[in-house]
Amino acid sequence: MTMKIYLWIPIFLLAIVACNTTEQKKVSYQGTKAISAYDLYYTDANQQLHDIEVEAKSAQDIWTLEFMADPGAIVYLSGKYEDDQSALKLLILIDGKVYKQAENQGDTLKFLTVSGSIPYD
Amino acid sequence: MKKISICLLFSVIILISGTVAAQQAKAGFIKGRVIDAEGKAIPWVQIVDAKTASGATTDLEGRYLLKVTQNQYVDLIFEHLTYQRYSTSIEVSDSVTTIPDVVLMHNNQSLGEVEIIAVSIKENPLNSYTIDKEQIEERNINDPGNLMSLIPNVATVKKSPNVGDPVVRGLKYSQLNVQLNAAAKIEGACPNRMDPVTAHIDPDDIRNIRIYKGPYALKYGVNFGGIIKIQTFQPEFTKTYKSHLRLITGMQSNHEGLRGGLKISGSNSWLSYQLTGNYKKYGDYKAGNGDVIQAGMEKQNMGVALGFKAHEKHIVSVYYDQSNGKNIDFPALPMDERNDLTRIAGLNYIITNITPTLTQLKARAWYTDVDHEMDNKNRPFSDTVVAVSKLNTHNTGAKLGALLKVGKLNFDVGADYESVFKTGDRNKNLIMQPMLPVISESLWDNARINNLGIHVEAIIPSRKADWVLAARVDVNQAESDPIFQYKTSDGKVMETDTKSQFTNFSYSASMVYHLNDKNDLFVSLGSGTRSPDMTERFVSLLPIAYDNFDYLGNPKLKPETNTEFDLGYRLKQSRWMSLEANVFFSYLTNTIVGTMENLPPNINPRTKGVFGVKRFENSSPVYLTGFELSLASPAHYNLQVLLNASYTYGMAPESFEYVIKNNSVDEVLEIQNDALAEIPPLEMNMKVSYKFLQQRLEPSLSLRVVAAQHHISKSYVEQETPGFALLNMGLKYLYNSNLSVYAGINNLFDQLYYEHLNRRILGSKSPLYEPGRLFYVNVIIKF
Repeated sequence: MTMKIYLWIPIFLLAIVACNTTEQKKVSYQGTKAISAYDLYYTDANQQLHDIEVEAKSAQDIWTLEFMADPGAIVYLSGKYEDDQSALKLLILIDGKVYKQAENQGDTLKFLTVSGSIPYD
Repeated sequence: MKKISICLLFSVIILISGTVAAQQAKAGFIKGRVIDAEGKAIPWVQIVDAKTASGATTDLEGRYLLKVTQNQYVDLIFEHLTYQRYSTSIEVSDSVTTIPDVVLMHNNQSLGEVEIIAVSIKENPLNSYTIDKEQIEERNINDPGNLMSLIPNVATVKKSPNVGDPVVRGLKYSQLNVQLNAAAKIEGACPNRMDPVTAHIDPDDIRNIRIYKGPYALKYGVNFGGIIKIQTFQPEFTKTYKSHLRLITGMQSNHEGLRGGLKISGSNSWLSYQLTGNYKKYGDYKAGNGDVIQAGMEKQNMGVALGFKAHEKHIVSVYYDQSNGKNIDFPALPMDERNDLTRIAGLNYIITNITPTLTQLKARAWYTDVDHEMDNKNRPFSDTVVAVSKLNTHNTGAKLGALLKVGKLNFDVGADYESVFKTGDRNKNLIMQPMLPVISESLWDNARINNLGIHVEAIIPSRKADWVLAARVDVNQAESDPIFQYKTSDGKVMETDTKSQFTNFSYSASMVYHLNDKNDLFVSLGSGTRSPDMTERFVSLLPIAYDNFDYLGNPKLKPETNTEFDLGYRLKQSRWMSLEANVFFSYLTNTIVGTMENLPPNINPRTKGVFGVKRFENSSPVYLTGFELSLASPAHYNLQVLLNASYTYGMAPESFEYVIKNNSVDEVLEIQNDALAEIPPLEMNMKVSYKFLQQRLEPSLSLRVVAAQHHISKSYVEQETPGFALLNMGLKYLYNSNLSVYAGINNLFDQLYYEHLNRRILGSKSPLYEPGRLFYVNVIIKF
C-alpha cells in the first residue's frame, strides 16, 4: 500500500507541470512602404525599448524582426520619417496573423504607432 | 488544447485506477459500549462512520451496534451533547468486531485542545457554525469564500465568479478576522480585494471552517464582527504506522474546467505528515440567458505539514504551502489577476497537562507572503494605456497562550502580535505615445501596521447556567511613507503625517441557561473595537468600493466599535430534529465610511469615468439587526432535511445622498435612515435527501429562495436586485470506503439570476450573473 501511494507523486507532479506550461507566441514586426530612411522604436522579447534607423530604398523593402514572447507581453512598434515624399506602413503579426497595423503618407510630424499586448488564449 | 488534453488524460487515469482499485464491499458490524470517566454508561451517544455517514445510537446501557464495511478501516465519531467529541480509526477484520469501551470526557472536565467560546454544550460552541470535510466534498465549489454561504447570514462579495469575499451579518473585509490553522493571517495585496484571505487557500485542502459570529470570541485576536477559522492540518498520531492517500478529480460543463488533487498523509506514534497538491482550471461560462461571462482561472498549490510528538505532552507542528493563481478574470474590476504567488509558513507548539492548574501552553508563529500582479491587458482601454500593478505584502505574527483550571473555573490567557507590510507600484505604459513613456505610481507607500494584544477569558460552568467572560486590549500602530492625496496646478499634495497609534478595549459576556436536557437559552453581549485597516488609512485615489468613486485613505481615522447583543434558543438533537434560532442587534460607533464631506478643496479623481472622490471618515452611529434559523433532522435517519433562513437589516440614521447627473455628483443631500450598502436580503435554503442502498446512495434536492433587495443605500448609489428561486440536484454515491462519487446539476432550470452582493460588470449595466445550468462530477478515491 505504501509503495502504491508514493507512485502517485511523480504522476501528479508531471500533471501539474504539464498543466502549467505557457505556450509562447511568435511575434513579427514589419515596416514597409518607405522610400527613404526612417526611425523605428520597438520593444523586444524582454520588453526593452530599442531605436534604430532603417535604410529603405524602395516602397517594396520590408524591415522585419521576429522573436518569441509570452502572452501578455507588450508589443510596440513606432516610426517616423523626415522625407515628406515617403510613407510608412507598420504591422505586428502574432503567430503569422496580423494583430495591429497602421500606415500614413507624407506625415513627417507625427509618430506612426502600432502597439498592444499579446492576447491570452 | 494540448494542456487540456494532458489534464483530461490525467483525470481519466485517476478514474480508471480508482475503479480498478475499488473492491466489492462486504458487510460487517462494530459493537461496543460508551462510558464516562466514572465508568457509567452514556445513553444517546451518536456513533457515525465518517466515510459512509451511517450511524447508530447507544442504548440505556451505553451499548451500540453499527453496520460497516468489512476488511476496511472505519473512522468512527462519537458525539454527545454534553461530552467531548471523540474519534477513532478501527480496522474491521471480522464480521463482528468488538472494540474496547470508549470513554467520553464531560465538556467541563478537560479542555484539552477543544476550543470553547461560550459554553461548550456541544461541538459547535455558541454563535459558531462549522463546515466539515464531508460538506466540502459534497459541494462543487472552487473557492473557500463561496463555501461559507452554507451558513445562515454568511454571504460573499463577488467581483469575480471564482473569488468570494465573506460577509457575516452585513460586516466584511477587516471587520472580520480570518485565520488559517488557528493563527496564521494572510494580507491580500490588491487594494480592490481581488485576493481576500480565502483566495489563497485551496478548498480541497480544508478540513473544516468554523465561523464565530459577533464580537464575543476575543481570544483569537481582534474581533469586530466575527472570526473565521480555516483548518488545513491537524496532527494526528496512531499506535502503528498508517498511511492514507486521497485523490480527487472532477469536471464540469458550462463553467468548463477540471480539478485534480492529491493528498498523502501518514502517522505513527510520534510523527504525523501530510503532502498535498491541487490543480484547478476553469473557463468562461454561460448565464441563464446565454450571455458569456468572463470567468477564466487557473490555480495550483502544493503543501507540506509535519507534526511531532516529542513527548506525550509535547506536540510540535510545522506547515508550508505555496499557491499560484494565474489569469483569473475579474469582470467587475478594471484589472484582472495575472499572477499571484502566496507562501504560507507556520509553527505550532502545544504542551498539555503540565500541572493540574496549568492544563495547556500554546505557542504559534506564522509568516505569509503574497506577490500579486494584475493588469488591464484584456480590457478595451488597454489599447492606449497598459497598466500593470505589482504588489507585495507580508504578514508576520505570533501567539502565546495558556489554559488554566482553578477549581471549576477555566481561564484562557494569552498575547498575540501581528505585523503587516504592503508595498508595490502601478506602471502605466502609454503605448500609443512616442518612446513608450511609463508612468509609475506607488500604491501602498510601504505602509505597515503593528498590533499587539492581550486577552483573558474565563469559563464559569454550573448546572443550570454557564458563563463565559472575556476581555482584550490591543495596541495598534500604523505608518507609511508620505502618501499622494491629490494634484493642484502647483503640483502634488502629499500627506506626510501618516503615523497613528491607538489602544483599544474589547469585552464580551455570554451565558447559556440550560432549561432542561434538550433546551437551552443563550444570551451574549460584547463590544469589539478594531483599528482602521491599510486601505482605510492609506489608499490613494482608487475606485475600491461598490460605488463608482475614487477613494482616499485617511491616516487620522479613529478605531470603530461594534457593540452587539445576541439572544438565542437551541433545541438540542431530539428524536425528530435539532433547532437553533437567534436574533442579534449590532450598534456601530465611529463607523468608518466613505464620504465627500471634509474633502480638501479642488480635489479631482485620478480614475477616468468615476463620479468623484470620497475619503474615509468616522461617521455617526449605524446599526444592524437580524435573525438566523437552522433546523436539521437527526443524522442517523435515512431521510435528511436541512433548513435555514436568515436576514440582516442595516441602517444609517444619518447619511448623505449623492445625486448623480451626467456621470458626476450634481447634488449632496443630507438624508435620514439610509440603508447600509451590500447587505444580503432575506434568504432561505432547504436541502432534502434520502439514503438508499444501506446509506451508500444519497440523492438530494436543494432549494434556495432569495428575496428581492429593495432596501438599498443611497449613499453608495446602490441598485435594487430581484429575488430568485434556484433548484439544484445532487447525487452522492459511496461505492465503498475507497471510492465516492459526487455528481449533480446546479441551476436545474437554467435560471438567469445573480446575488445581491455580486458586483456589476465594469463598463456595463449588466450584473455579474451566476452560471446557468451546470453539470458536474467529482470523484474521490481514498486508501
